[in-house]
Amino acid sequence: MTQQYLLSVNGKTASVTTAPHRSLLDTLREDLGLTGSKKGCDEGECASCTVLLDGVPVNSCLVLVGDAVGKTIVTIEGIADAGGPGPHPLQRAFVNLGGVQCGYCTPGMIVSACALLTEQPDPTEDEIKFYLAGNICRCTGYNKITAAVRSAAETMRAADVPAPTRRTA
Amino acid sequence: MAFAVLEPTTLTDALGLLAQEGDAGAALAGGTDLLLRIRRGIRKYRSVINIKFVPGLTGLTWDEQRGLTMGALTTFRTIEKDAHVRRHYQSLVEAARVVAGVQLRNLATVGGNIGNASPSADSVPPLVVLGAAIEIGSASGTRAVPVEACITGPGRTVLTPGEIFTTIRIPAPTPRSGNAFSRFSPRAAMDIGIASVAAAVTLDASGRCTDCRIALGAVAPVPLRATAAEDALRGERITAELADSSGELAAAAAQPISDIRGTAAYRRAIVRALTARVVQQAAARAAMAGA
Repeated sequence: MTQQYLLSVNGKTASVTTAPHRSLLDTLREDLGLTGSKKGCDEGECASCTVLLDGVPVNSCLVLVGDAVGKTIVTIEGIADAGGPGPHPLQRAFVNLGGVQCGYCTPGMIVSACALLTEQPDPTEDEIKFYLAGNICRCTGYNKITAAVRSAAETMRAADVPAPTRRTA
Repeated sequence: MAFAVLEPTTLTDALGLLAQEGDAGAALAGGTDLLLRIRRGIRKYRSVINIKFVPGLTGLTWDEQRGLTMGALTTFRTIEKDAHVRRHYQSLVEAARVVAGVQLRNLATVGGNIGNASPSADSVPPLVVLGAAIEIGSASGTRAVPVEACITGPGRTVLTPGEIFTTIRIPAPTPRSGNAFSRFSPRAAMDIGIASVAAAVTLDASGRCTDCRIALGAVAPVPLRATAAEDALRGERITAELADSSGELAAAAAQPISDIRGTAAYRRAIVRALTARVVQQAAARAAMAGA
């Protein structure tokens, strides 16, 4: 029992034929080869699978593939490609400031931080903590993650980097 | 764990499919509870009926006279960001902001939170003290039930097969009224409350309490009104001492269980402290609200 779905992923239209009970996360990773979004818990507890759905961060493990049809999907790969050549300022800040340890939570952290900086380009430390509270880092490197987001926010405001949250096909 | 996904695009079709599938089907809202139940093998369904393509089940409208009307599929994130909710129903914002994390709040719906009927559902105590009612749609029409009477036990509601929650209505706040919610959990985010308390207080021009509602979460199989604690406040000036004695009465009314999150005695102690706190906070907000 499969069905064809047309998904708008990172500005391109992708056609996927799959079973309707599958999650957006599994579809992205296994059918489209976009393995940047991580499968940590598959229960909505860790947010390492965060993607932007119409600009809004969601746990893609809890979204059925059919619920993503007609919406724009941006994954970590889309953010990586958005700032021109080289890594996105958020990625660079995570690397430069040691916001990455094992790296498993990092894509979800960066996708979520990207949504935060779209809503609030100059967030306070408390606003960052509140927004990223659902993103679990088991290496517990939270201080450096917060510092990386603050640093990236500064870079992005100065350079006027567009947040790639609403790119369409 | 495979299942069919049905995607009705009208309320009539959705209700028809729910009636047709009966126990073999489940309505899918945000999916943050339902998909977990399925994946963990707790429940099996032949089909889930995704009601997110049914028009009219989302969105918030505010009216000075009629209060707040929101579709059952309104997400917690929408609730916590809405200017009218933030102004008039702070207890609901305080509850929405402690639900999981931002990503999950972009999916999870208030109707789903009520329908899941967990004793620890964060939205329920505020909705009870705010006097919210929920409209239930079925092929034979609609009926409205107070949220307070909507949950009949853990995981059980007044919904019968072929019915869904469609709309939640919260009356406009009366003059000089205020409300507040507080939850205790070891972690601030991504945790389940050990106990929670919501209070709504109305004062007269002299600052005496004319009306009061207190609801307790996670300390009984169903949402619990602490009526003795409410009675102790009516007609009185809400001092710290009086708020504390209302906390004692609320703790006595609680019917907690002991489980992995805490003992019954611990839950009662939390209820006492939280009640004293939210009653004073609601009273302070009522005083600030003025006429």
